[in-house]
Amino acid sequence: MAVINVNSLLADNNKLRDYILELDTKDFNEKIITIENISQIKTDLSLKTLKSILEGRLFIRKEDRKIILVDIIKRKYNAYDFFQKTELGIVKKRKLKKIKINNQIRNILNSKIAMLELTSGTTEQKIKAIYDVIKEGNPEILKIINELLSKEKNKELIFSLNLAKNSILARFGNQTEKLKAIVSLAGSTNNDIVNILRTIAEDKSLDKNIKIEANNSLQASLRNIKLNNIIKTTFFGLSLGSVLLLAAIGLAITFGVVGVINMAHGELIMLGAYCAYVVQQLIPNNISASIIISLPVAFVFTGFVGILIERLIVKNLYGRPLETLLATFGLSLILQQIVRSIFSPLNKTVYSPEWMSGITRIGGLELTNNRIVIIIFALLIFLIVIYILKKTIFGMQMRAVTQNRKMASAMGINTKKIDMFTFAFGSGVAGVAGVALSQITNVGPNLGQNYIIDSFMVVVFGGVGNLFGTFIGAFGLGLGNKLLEPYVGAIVSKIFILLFIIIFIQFRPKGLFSLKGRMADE
Amino acid sequence: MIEDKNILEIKNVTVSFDGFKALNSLSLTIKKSQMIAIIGPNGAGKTTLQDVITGKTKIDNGKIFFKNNDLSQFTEHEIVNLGIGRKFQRPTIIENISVWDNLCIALNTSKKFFSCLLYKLNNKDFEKVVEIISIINLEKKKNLIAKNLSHGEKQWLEIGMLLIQQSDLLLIDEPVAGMTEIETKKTSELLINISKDRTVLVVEHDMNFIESLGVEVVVLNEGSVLTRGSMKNIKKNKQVIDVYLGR
Amino acid sequence: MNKRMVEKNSSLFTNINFLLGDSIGRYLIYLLAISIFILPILHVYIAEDSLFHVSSYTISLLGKYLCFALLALSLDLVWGYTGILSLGHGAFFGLGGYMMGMHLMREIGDRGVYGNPLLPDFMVFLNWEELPWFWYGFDSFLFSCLMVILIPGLLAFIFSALAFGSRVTGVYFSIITQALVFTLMLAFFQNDFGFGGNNGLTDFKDILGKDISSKETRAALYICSATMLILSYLTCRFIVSSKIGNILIGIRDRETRMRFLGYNTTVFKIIIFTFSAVLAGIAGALYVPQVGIINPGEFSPIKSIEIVVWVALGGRGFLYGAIIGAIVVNVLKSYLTIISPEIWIIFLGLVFILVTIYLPNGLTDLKRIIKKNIYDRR
Repeated sequence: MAVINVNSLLADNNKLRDYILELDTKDFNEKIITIENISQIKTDLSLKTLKSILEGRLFIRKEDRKIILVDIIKRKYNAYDFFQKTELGIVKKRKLKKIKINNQIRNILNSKIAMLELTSGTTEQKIKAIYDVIKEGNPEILKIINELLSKEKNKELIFSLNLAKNSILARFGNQTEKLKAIVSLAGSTNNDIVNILRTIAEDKSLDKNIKIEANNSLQASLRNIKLNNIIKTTFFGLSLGSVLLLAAIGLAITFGVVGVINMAHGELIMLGAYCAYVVQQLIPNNISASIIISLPVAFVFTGFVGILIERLIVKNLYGRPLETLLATFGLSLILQQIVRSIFSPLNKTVYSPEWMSGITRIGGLELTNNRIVIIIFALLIFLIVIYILKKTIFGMQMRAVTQNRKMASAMGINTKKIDMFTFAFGSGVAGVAGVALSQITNVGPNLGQNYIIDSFMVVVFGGVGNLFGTFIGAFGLGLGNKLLEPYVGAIVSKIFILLFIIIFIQFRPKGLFSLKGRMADE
Repeated sequence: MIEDKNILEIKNVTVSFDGFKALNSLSLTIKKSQMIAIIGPNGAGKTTLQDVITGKTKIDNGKIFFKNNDLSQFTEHEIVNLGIGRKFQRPTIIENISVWDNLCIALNTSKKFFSCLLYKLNNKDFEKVVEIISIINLEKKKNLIAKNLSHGEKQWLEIGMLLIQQSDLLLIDEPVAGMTEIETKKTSELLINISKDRTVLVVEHDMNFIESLGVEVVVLNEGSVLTRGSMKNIKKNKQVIDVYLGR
Repeated sequence: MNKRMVEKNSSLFTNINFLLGDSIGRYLIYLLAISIFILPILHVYIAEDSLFHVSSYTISLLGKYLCFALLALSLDLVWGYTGILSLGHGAFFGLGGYMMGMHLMREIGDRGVYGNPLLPDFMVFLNWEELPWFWYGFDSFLFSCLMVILIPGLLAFIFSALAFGSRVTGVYFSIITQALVFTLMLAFFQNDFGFGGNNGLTDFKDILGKDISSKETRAALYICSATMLILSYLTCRFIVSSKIGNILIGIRDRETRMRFLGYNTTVFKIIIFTFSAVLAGIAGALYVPQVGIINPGEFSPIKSIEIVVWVALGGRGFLYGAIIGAIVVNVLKSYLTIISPEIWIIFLGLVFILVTIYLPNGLTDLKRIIKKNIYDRR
C-alpha cells in the first residue's frame, strides 16, 4: 500500500467528518450529494462510513456533534467514537441522532460501496470484492464492472471481472446476452456460479435453449469440481503422508537397526521443533535464515540426546525390548516435563518464512505453500537417508547389522558402536522432522504425543527394517486417511485407519514389506 | 516281521534349498531299541536329516516311515505325539521353575487348559517323575530352580523331559558340547541306559564320546550315507578319513 | 522319596494348600479382611469429629486404591506370569467402568437436569429423541453386571484370538494394544458416539436404590472392592499354583519349547488374557460409583502404561507385588501431586527408568539389594 501521508490522512478525516455532519438534514437529495462526496474520498474510513450508514449504525451525538458508531447488543446501545476508535460505553438512544436513509439511498450506497471495494485495496481484496459481487447478483454493478474492465491490466482481475460480468448477464441480460454468458461460464468451479447455472437449468419459465446450455455448462462445472476434489484430496493425502513420513523415519531407523522401541521418539521431534523456536529467538530478523540454520542445529542437538539415551538407557537393556519400551516411556515423561518447566506449558509460535506462506493457485485449486514445501522437504530427507544408507560405509554397516547381527559382528563390525551411531542418526532425523513440523503445527511440550502413535503405526504397517516400507506406509496411510475424511469426518477416519492397521497386523504381522533377518523379538 | 523291527525307514530322501542338495537320495534304516551315532563334516546333512524326521522341513523326494507311518502326512505337532522327540543343542528347559516342575510339565498328561487347572499329581505320575529324575541323576537337586544347574545338568534335565514324554525315538543333537569330562562320561552312561528301552539317534563331533557309547556309527557326507559300521572300522575307513576324520 | 519330600519350590498341585507358600499374600488378605470390618464402622458409626472417624473422602479413596490394585493384579497375571505386556489394559478397565456408568445413568431417571425419565441429560442436550439400542437393558443391575463381564471379555477374546493366532507377540503386540486403547479414546470422545462424549457419564444419584454418596453406600462399596480383591487374589493364586502357573511361566520364557511339549500356547494365552480383561472390567465397574464419574480420559494411552509401572514397582510375577505396587504408587501420586504435579511426573518417569534397569523384580529386588549390602559390610 502507498506510504501513509499523515497530513493528507488528517485532512481526509476532517473532510469526512464535515460530510457526515452534512448528512444531518431532512433533504434526501442533499444526502445523496453528500454520499457521492464521501465516496470520492478513497480511504478505508470512508468505506467504513458508507457501510455503517447502510447498516444503520452511524449516529451523531446531539450534545457535542461527535460521530458515533453503535453496536446494538440486547437492545442496549454500545457506543464507540468513530474516529478515535475508543469505547464510550452504553449511551441512551435519545442522546443520539440517527443518520436515516431511504430505499433510493440504500441502492446508491450499495453501488458506491461496491465500487469502492472493487477499486481500492490489494489485488486480494479486490478479488474478494468481485466474488462478493457474484454472490450478490446486483445488476446495477454491471456498469462499474464494464468500466473497470476497460481500464484493468492485471490478468487475474480481468478474469474475475469477466466472471462477474457473465454471472450477471446470465441472469439479467437479454436472450442473446444470456446465452453467450452461460456458455462462457461453462466449467467454472465457483460455488455461486454453479448455483446460478443450476437455478437457470431448472427454471421452467425459461427458454429451452437457454436451459440446455445452462445444463451443459453445469455438467462441465461439476466435472471440474470433481476433478478438483480428487486433486485436492490427493494433495492433502500427500501432505499428511509427508508429515507421517517425517515423523516416522527416525523411528524406522532406530527400530529397524537397533531393534528398540523408543517411546521418547515423539519428544525428540518436539525437541527439534523447540530448536527452531530457540534459533528464531536468537535470529529474529531473518526468519528464512533461522529456519535453515535450525535444521543442522536440531540434527546435532537431538542426535546428541539420542546418544545419551542410547548410552544411559538402551545399552543397559540390550536384548530386552519390552523393558526398553518402558524405560524410554519414562524418559519421554521426564523430557516433556523438563521442556514444560524451562519454556512454560504454553505453545510457542514459530514463524514461517515468506516462501512458505501464501497460496499457490493452479486452475481453480488453492494449495497452501507450506504443505508443498513440507512434501518436498520430506522427500528430500527420505532421499538423503536412503543415500546415506546405501552409499556410505556407515550405512552399509547399519544395514549389515539389521539383516544379520551375528554375521556382521563376525565380520568385524563393532555392533555396539553402530547401535549408538544409528540411534544418534535416527534421533537427529527426528529432530530435523521437528523443525519442519514446527511450521505446520503448534509447538508445545505435548507435540511429541501427537506423533508417537502415528509413527509407530507407519513403521509397524510398512514393515520394520525397511525404509521403503516406511515410505509406502506413510503415504498409503496419509492418502487413505484423507480419502475417507470427506465421507466420515476427520476423527472417524482416523479411527478406521487405526482399526485397519490393527486388523492388518493380525494377518500380516511383519507389515507390508518385511525384512528377513533379526527382528526385535526373535 | 522284518518291517516291525525297523522303527525308522528313510528311503531315498532328497531335500534341496535353492538348488543346493542338503540331502541327496539318502537312505537309512534303524531298528527298534537301537542307538546310532551320526557323524560327518559340516554341511553333510546331519541337521537337515533331523529336521525332516521331525517334520520341520519338507522333503522334496522320497519317503520316511516311522512305526509304519508316512511322516509326510503329519504336522510337527502330530509327529511329536507319534513318539519322536528332539533335543536341540542349546538346552531349552524352563529356567525359572524347579527341576521337578520342568519334568511335571513334560508329563504325558492332558495338555488342555482346564485339565491342567485341576490337575493333581497322582501316584502314577509321581512314580514316573521319580523314576526319570533318578535316571538323569538329579534327585538331590529336584527343588533347585533350573537356572542354577550347571550346563551339563541342564542337558540332562532336557533329556529327562524328552524321556518323560515317552518318545520312542529320540534325536539328540550334540549333547556333550560344552560339557566337562566328568559330565561327558555321565552323559555317556545316561544315553546307554536310556537306549535299552528306546531308539536313540545321537549326532556328535566328539569322537571319544562316541567311542565310549560303543554303538554303530553312520557317516554322512554331502547329503547321503557314506558308510556305517562300528567305530573301529569307521576309523580305519579310507573314505571317511579323507572326508572327515583326516581333516 | 515320598510326596512330603517334594517341598518349597516344587509343586504337587494339591490346590487346597495353594496359599501355604505365599506368606506375604496371606498377610495382605488378613489385612484386607480386617479392613472390611473396621473401616466401614469407623466411617458410618463414629462421629465426624472423633479422631477415629474415617471420612467419606478417605474411604472412597481407599476403595479406589483397591480397584487399582485389582487392575494391577489382572495385569500381573498376563505380564508377570505369561509375559504378555499389554499396554492397553485401561481399555478393559474403562469399558467395565462405562458399563456400570450406563446403569447408574439410567438409575437417575427423571432426577436429571432435564427431567427426562428415559433419556440421560446429555442425550436430551443433543436433541436425541430415543434411547439408542445399546442402552437397552442397562436399567437392570444384573444385566449391567453381565455386561461388565461380557464386553471387556469379548473384546479381549476377539483381540487376543486374532493377535495370538497370527503369532503377533512381543513389542508388536504391545504397540497394537496401545493403538487399541487410543482408538477407544478417540471413539468415546465423540459426542455422537452415544456415551456422553468428552464429559463422560456423571451426576449419578443412586445405586440399587440407595443414595450413592451416603455413608452406608460408600462403606458398602468399599466392602465390595475389598471382597472382590480378596476373591480375585485367591482365584489368581489358585491358577498360578496349579500346573497352569508353570505352563504360563514356560510360555513366558520359552513359548516355542512349550509348543513342542504339546501345549497349544495360543489357547492358553487367549484364556488368560480374557480372564485378565474380565478382572480389569470388574475393577472399573467398582471404581466408577466410588469416584462418581467415567470419562474417555480413562482410555488415554498414558493411563494404561501407568498400570505397568504399578506392577513393575511392586514386582511382577508375585501377584502380591502388583497389589503393593498399585497402592504404593497411587499413594505417592496423591502426595506428590499436592506438592506439585511437575514433581509427580518427574518421579513417575524416574521410576520407570530406574525400576526397569536396576530393579527388574521391583521392590522385592530392593530387599535383595539391601541384604546384599548388609552382608558385604560384615
